[in-house]
Amino acid sequence: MTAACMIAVLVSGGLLALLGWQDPKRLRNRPQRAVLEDGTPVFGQGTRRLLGWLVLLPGIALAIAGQWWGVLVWLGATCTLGWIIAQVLDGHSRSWS
Amino acid sequence: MFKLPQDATKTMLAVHGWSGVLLGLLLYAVICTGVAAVFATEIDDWASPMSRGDTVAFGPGLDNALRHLAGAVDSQFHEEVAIWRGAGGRVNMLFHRHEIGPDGKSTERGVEFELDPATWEVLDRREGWYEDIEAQRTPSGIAAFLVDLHVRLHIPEPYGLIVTGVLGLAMMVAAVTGLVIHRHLLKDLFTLRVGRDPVLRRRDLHVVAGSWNLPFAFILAFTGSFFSFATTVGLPMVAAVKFDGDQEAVIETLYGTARAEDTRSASSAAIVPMLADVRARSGAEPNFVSVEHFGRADSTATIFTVLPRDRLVYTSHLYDGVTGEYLRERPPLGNEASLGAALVGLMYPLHFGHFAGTASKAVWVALGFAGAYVTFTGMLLWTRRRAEQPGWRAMTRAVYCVGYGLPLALVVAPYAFFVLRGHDIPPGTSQGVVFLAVVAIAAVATVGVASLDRLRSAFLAATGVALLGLPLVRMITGGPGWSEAWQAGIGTVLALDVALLVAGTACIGFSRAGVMPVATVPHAGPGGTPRVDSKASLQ
Repeated sequence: MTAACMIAVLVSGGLLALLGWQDPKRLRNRPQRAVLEDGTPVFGQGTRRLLGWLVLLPGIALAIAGQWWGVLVWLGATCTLGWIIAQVLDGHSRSWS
Repeated sequence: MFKLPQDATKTMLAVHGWSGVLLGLLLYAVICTGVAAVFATEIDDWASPMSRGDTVAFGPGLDNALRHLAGAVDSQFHEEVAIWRGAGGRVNMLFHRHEIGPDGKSTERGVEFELDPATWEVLDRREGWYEDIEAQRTPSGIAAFLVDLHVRLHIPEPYGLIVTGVLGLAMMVAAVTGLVIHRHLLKDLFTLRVGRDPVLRRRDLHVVAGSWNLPFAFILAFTGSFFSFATTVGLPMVAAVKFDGDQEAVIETLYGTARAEDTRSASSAAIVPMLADVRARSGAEPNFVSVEHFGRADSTATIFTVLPRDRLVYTSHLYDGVTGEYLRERPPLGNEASLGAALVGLMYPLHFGHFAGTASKAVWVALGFAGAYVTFTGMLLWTRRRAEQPGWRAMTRAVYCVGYGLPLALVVAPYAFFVLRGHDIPPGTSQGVVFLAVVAIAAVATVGVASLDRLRSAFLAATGVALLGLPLVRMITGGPGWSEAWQAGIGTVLALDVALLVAGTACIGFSRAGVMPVATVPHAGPGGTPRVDSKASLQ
């Protein structure tokens, strides 16, 4: 895996972690709902949309660079990371054993 | 994402559930074995390493070995010589001819040598029909067992391939309908409801995993079905429609004949310079050589490589087998590059995930694991929702049996390989017997145990112990220890041993946790009577 591909995965994974951490539906369904005292997420809808598009950016960059194998690795790794982030943020990692 | 009328959503949900639950147990088996088969080469190298890890399979001395061994076999088997890198870096050399087998189907018959690439000593000699030769390939026994289970569920051809092809179609149907019925795919990507109805909780676990895995579920199912149906349905169909059923004629039309027939004797060109030329042209290491009509004037050599860096579609290189002259690059299909050839070529990396070395393989394993998880949780969701019906309660037990018993059986089967290696029993047979025995024990345990949670814990713990024991049994039965492997540069042995120890520890950890103490879910007791547990596992 080239450095470019690894950076792309890390960037998208980091952005996904941010999105997941402040996901409003996830926060609403937590037993202890307050991230902030009033229970509202830090990011507004516009910010979340921007972050969502930014998640895709590294993959698009790899495609423009012609690294199609890198796009596949990035896509697969990002999807896997997204799933892991959802489980970890849930705080019940034992439940998927 | 899609807003369907309520009736249409209900219909789609039914299609989604039934497509999964009817074939889900077999699909789960195919996915689990596929996950392991991604690392088939590494499993071979781990189970049957050579004394040195850095041996180049196609090094100097190959041509001498080829000529020497060609003189040692009946010349009828010079029709084609296949040479490839086998387990641990061994070189396999198969002299064979194409014939109609005892069952009336086209196959190969010949003599195969297994060689040490450092000394070119013959390690083993096998002969007969291709199926018999394949069964005797002991060094690659573990991976071959897994791959055969993945590709055809050990069902005889062509039925096994047809079954796995249908399973792939069922997976595609489940993926597409899952996408259609999920209205809030993006909004629910991180939503796992806690502390509410356990049914909703299970649904969320299934949906979140399925959503993240959706593109690859479709890709893996589509490419898997393609491989299953290409030779069992596609080729015979094209042959029947256009070539009066002559499948050889279809293949000849697709690929063409390399050269005009000339049966005169001629000395063969050296292979090693061709290999060097291929390395220079492609920048990739050759891994398969096919010499047609060895020792004849119309001889050709086709050389395949691992996927070159930055490429997704493989090609092969054709040489004149007498002069050694480079003739042309061959696409995966036909003689000229085309969109169809590129699409066919793309199927391989998309399905096997071997296009970027360990990185892409690791990602494909993770995606496969997610696919198995989605299949398993989907079946549990469907059956537990119908737990008031005896038939579905029995199905829940079957899902537990396969869901936790199958991985245990897959991990225990290699013990038979290690313990019985060196005996006359083919590795596929010994592993198959042990595999079926463990599955049978798991089935009896599933029927007899009242608490499915305890069953789950026991299966996970047993799988963990079996995983932890594999490196030990590998070493006890003659495999290199860690120090020896390190000094010899056999990194695969160390890496897989560590991976097995980590996986084993994780399984034991999961076996000690993982139940949600809030659910009250009825399930069948040993006599089929509905029971209510004070707690039930999520999955």
